Amino acid sequence: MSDLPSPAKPNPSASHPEADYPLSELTELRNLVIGPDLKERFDNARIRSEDVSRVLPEALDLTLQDKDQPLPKVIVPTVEKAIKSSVSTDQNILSEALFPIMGPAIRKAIAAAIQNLIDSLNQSLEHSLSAQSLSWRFEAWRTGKSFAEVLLLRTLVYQVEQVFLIHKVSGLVLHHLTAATATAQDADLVSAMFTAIQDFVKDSFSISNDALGSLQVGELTIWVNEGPQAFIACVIRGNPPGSLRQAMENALERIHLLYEVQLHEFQGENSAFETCQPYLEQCLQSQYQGKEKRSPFLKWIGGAAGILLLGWGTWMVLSLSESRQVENFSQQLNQQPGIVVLQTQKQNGKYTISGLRDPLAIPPQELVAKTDLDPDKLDFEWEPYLSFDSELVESRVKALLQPPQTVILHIDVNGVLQMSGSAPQTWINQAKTLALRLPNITQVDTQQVVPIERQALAALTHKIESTAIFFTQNAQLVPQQNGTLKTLALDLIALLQKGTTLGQRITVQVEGHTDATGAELINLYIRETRAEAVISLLVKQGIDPRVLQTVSVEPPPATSSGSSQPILANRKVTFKVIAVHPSTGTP
Amino acid sequence: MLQKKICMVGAFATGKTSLVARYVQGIYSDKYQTTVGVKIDKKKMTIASQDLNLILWDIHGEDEFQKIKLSYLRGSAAYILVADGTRRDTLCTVFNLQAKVEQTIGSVPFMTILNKYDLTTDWELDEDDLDQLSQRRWPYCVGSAKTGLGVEECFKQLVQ
Repeated sequence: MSDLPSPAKPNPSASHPEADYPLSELTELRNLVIGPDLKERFDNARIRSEDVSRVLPEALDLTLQDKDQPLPKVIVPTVEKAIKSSVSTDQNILSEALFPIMGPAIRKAIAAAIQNLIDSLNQSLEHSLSAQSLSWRFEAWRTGKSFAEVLLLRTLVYQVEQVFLIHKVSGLVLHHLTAATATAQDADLVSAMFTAIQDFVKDSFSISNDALGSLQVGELTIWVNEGPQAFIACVIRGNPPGSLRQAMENALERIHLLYEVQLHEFQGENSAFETCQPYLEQCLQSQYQGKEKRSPFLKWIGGAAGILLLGWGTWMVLSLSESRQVENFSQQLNQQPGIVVLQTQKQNGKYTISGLRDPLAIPPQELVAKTDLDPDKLDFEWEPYLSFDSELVESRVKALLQPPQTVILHIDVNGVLQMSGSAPQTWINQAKTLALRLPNITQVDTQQVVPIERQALAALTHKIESTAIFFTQNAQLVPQQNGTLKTLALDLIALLQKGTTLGQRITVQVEGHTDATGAELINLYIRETRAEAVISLLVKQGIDPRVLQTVSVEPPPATSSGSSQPILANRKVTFKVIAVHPSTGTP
Repeated sequence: MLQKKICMVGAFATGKTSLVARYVQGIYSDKYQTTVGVKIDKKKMTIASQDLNLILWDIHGEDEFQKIKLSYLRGSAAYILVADGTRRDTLCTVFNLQAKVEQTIGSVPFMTILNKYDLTTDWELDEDDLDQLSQRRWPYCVGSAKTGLGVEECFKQLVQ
């Protein structure tokens, strides 16, 4: 404006004759006031533009400072038209200008969209198939809630339960929000107490400027963002993300900007702050578990590791209990006669028990069968040895001698083998010599054993001696005695065999008898003849004649009655067995 | 809703907590006083058909071991000084405290309560003491936490 000509500059044509006319006066006045320079300025668009361009920046600046100015509103259509025009003329100009901003913005948006898509796919897959989802479905069925509710509850990462806007100086609550699902204590009291605690912490640790940023108690976290006049405190359950801090900061800035006057003049009336609810609501966030950081692959590995660990634990427990069982078994084995366990080893999951074992000791497999142990897991390595355990010595004696059931064996502490009962003579003889070959048998006592042959010998002797062959008046055999003779011959053969077995020399006296009638000399002859007749018959049956002796037996003297009646029963031949032990000469 | 922060200060064991105990609603136990140094309660009042919440900051009493935390006083709309009528020295403490409080938060309305008026036989304060209060132009009232005498009136007087 300083370039404008001074309005007070005198006009050279002021005393013009036209002054008499009102119109010309007016023109003159106009000329006086505006002057030809000014007029030219108004008429010349270029000069005018130059003038405006000089003041425009300052004018715009003033406009923006005054909130009531409508300029921004007015200018919008122009700007829009300008952009449109620019785009239609040459797209590249605007494109190049916006590129540094648009590029990263678009990349960010695309990345976020893709991430969301992946998350949502992951969540769908995971929750429709996983074991966890089955357990949640079961929980939903059990509690009568919908699956969605259970899913939300179980996947909650964090939830802001309460938001406080607190007046910094007085600690009075300006506004308070509670999440629909959360319960809250009296906000006025909590707010004041919270301010008190902040003061307490600041005083206690001599912190003057900085505010208490966060508090953590159990699964609750309290985050505080402090502004010049007020602070926002969020009560959060779970693990909040850093973006929540940003949201709190934004809300706090907005509130300080919009409610600056109210905050300064706050005297306890908080109704003015009800309108800041939308800003605080931005902080009332929650997020549910959707971004599982662990990949399914890692989960599988984790699961497999868990199973392995569990298996290993179980195996250890079982293995410990198994080795204790084997140890017990080994002790039990060691107590058996004829078994000495020297070592129990474990290798490749199998146990090997080694030591000394008498071949006659109980087979270890029999003992294994009585326990819960797996026979396939046990191996035995035995060195054979002879045990002097009385039980085994007896077994060994029995194994060697094979005694008949009629014999009872007993071994005393001195190694004397005592036998009792009855047995064949051959066995007795054998046993006597065999038993002494055994290492700890010092003596064999067979006196209590009766040879069964001797019993048979006695029976045969008795039978033979009861037999009689009858004769008629002279040396003629009473007929039909062939059967008796045959039996007799067989008995004699058996008798002689037994005698041989027992080592006895058997002689059979064949005794001829007569009655007392007749002359004694004749009778003697008849007796001998009868005996020899029988002997010859027996020899014919295969009896060795050397064992048969003819004996004449005198008839008993006549009775006192003097009867001379022939006694038929005395016309016979009988037998007497004589057994003599060759060494002693006694029967 | 109109809210006002009111602090209660006084010597140790003058009955600050008992004074308000029967008139307020609270969620904190007395242990806060000894730990954090303050216990907060709320008293709802209606004055001239205007609902009012008094947020009472019951500050731990000052004694020879512990000074009151002056930062708790910030932002108070008013404060109540509590003295024990049966112990004259608590009145001296009140005089000292008032000076500190005024230094910290400036000139805000306050009220003095001479508590334990029910213990008439042990009452130590006399006319001279009350004169001291009058000379300072301090509003005061006598009260008893035990009987409830004067407490409600005191609050009302302070609020008005």
